[in-house]
Amino acid sequence: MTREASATGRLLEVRGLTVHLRVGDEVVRAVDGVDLFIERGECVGIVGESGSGKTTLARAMLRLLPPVELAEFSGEVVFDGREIRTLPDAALQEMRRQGTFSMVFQDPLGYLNPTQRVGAQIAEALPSGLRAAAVRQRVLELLREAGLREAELVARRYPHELSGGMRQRALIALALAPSPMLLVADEPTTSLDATVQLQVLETLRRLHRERNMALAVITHDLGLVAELCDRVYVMRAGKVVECADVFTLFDAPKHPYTAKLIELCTRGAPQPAAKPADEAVT
Amino acid sequence: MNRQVPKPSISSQSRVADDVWRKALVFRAHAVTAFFSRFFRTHYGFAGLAILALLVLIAIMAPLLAPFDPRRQVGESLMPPSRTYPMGTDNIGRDLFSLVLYGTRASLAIGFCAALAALLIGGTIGALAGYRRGLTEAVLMRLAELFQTLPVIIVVLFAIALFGSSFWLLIAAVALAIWPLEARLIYGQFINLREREFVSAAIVADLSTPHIVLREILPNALPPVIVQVALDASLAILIESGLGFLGLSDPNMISWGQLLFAAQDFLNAAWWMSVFPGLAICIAIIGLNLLADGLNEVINPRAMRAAIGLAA
Amino acid sequence: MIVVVLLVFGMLQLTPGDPVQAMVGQYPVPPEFRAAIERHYHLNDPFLSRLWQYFANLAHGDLGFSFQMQRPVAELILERAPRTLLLAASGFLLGIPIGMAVGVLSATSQNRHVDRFWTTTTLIAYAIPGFWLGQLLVIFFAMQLGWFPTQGMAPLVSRASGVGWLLERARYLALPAITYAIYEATRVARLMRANVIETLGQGYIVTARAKGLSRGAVIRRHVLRNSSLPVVTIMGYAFGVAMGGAVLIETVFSWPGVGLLLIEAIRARDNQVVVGVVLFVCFAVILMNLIVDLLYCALDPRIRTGS
Repeated sequence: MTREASATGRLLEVRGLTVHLRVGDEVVRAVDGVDLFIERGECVGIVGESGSGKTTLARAMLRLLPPVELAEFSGEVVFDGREIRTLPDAALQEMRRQGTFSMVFQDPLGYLNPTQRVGAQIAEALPSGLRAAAVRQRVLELLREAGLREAELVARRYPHELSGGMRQRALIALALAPSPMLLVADEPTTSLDATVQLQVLETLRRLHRERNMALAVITHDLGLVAELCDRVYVMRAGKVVECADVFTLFDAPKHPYTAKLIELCTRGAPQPAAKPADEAVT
Repeated sequence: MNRQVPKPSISSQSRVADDVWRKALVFRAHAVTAFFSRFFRTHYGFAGLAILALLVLIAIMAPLLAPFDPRRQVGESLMPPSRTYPMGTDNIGRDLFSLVLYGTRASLAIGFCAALAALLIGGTIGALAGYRRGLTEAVLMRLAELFQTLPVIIVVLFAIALFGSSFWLLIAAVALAIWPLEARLIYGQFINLREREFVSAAIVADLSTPHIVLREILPNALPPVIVQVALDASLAILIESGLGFLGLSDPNMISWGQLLFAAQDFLNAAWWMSVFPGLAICIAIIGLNLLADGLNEVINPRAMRAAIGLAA
Repeated sequence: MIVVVLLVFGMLQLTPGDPVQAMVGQYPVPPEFRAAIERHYHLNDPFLSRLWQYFANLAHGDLGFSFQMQRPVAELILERAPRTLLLAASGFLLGIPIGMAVGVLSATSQNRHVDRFWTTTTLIAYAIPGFWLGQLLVIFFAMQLGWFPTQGMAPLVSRASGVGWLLERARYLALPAITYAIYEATRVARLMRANVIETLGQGYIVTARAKGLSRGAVIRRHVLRNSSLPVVTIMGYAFGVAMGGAVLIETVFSWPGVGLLLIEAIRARDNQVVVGVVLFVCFAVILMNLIVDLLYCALDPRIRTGS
């Protein structure tokens, strides 16, 4: 229970995180010596192609790796002054219940229990000891905060009865339940329609502001990053190849890979009007 | 006249077919070696194969291995296991060890024959349904479903009651009970494979239907079928021993189940009459199941094993 | 069900030999009797009308007459059915919880050796033929140790009443039920283990962990329910099968149920009884399947709303 720094330290600090998975006879180096940090109230983007290790990184940070055999899992993960990579299970569970960090996953249908009503699942994430009425109240509040206006209806439903966007918001509500200081969103908009994507984007932005909650967005969608994030990490093949604030990244990417990513994202967009520099010359 | 419409010549058509065939062959040869290496790496697959090989050996060499003629009275009845009679004698004074050894023949024979028969019947029906589709498919699969719902023992008993229980009838009865398993499997495989490229290539190359079925689809559908055959054989042995136990098997042959039937009246006096034949049945079934598991491991390797995701 | 009856009837027609003789069994047929039967069953009528007559009889619950026992088949079956039901039910009630527990335990244990141990045990238990296990149990527990009676459902002469009666009956039920329970438990355990492993790989388990739930809570609230659903289906079907499938166990223990009836009838070539039992079991299976389908609807919300 020792705390190194007071509330002025960084929220999350990761040093030399390495995750090697054993798949069959091979070892996949999903995350290879990654350093990163997240300040309080900041919004950080982690971008890369599929397979770059960004999801594994996020899950490893929060110790939510799926049931695979690990060839190696080392490094330091310090959250709010506490080392969590080596924390014993019971203590970690305690931390999770008390509003530290939460994760929103990419596939809302798979990540919600199909045989349980949505409201009940959110209630499970709330601290215990509340009276039933208070729990209900809180669940509805959370659902509304996540942008679902018909909260009562949604709470009573099962996951498969909701649309993709509603499910995603329900997952967000679930993640917000313990009032986390850090919310990690893995591809929050990828599986949604274009219009719904914008709405969820807005919701995330609002939440980030209103709750003053740190946000980590994992995505391959650079547009999303440009809209939401303050700083960006670029990942490739398990390593961080570039880290910069959002403006610098887009204007002057240092790594060729980043440049390529940006080019791929903006390809197909209408050509910008002639640059002012050219005009000045003529 | 032929020159006006340029058609691909016959030789180029067959060259395409040969090419496809050759590629498929190379792929298959590679698959076979990979198959064997992975199979032997799993301990249980290997163990299963070893057990099975041992049993087959015993079955073939029974006359050489058995110390006595199993059908003749060679000693006093109901004698416990001793050096002369390693498994004791039964109520008529026959040597149980020899009986069990000879029993291997019948039990294994029925097991394999029934499994093969089920494969033939079920396989043909499944293949027909999978290839033809339409009404044939619906009717045949419904039939399979029906047979699968009926409890195995009941079907077999019913068949025996009506038609008797000589060796071949036994096989037929057991096959009648388990063919739906094979049928559904092969049907599923056909559905899967007919959409794949090499089938389309074969169709384009104008190969005849039996050719497509036999040389293209079937070899690639084979692996899970082999697993199922092993499982069917184990099931068949179980069923036959059950029938033998009920006294409904072929009285002219010696089988483990029948030995248990004889044991039923002498449980108090002669525990060995029950223990040894039963043990033999167990070993056979375990062997076949291990073999099937080993084969299955090769076909659907489980990449994610071990660590279960409950650690916080 | 109709198809089943058709099949059965069809197969009967295929049986070689004289139909009247087949019906009567081993006993010689007096000529007047033959004439009466021919008239009653319309044996000389064309196939379709015979079929119709058969259906009509069935609808009235007339399954024919047993010559061996000189009683209507339907009565015999109804008398014995509850006993088989008792055996099957106790076996299931004992076996299913054990099987589920073993399955969950072996799938969720973080110790590979525990998992290995249970899986191997289950495999071995699976390979043991039920009836052999019964024999072994009889040899050991009934004969060597004398704890339980070896056969039958009740003592020949009984003066007990009330709780004593229950205990007495329970002693007879014990071994057969245990045998059956072990048999079912192995199947359930294998199935459960596979299901649990699959469930553990699902996304919502990660969500549950992320909520900070303890291992026990995750298992209880999320894993169990979702893994059990397929087991329910299989078990329902197995129960229907049990009505006839307990044949082997009933034989070992001379438990006077439907299965034993079937065997005795086959040996005595009392075909009416055989047919009757077969139809009855098929009916039980189909009935159980229906019940299970309904149950599944009730338990799995995905089916309910038809998404």
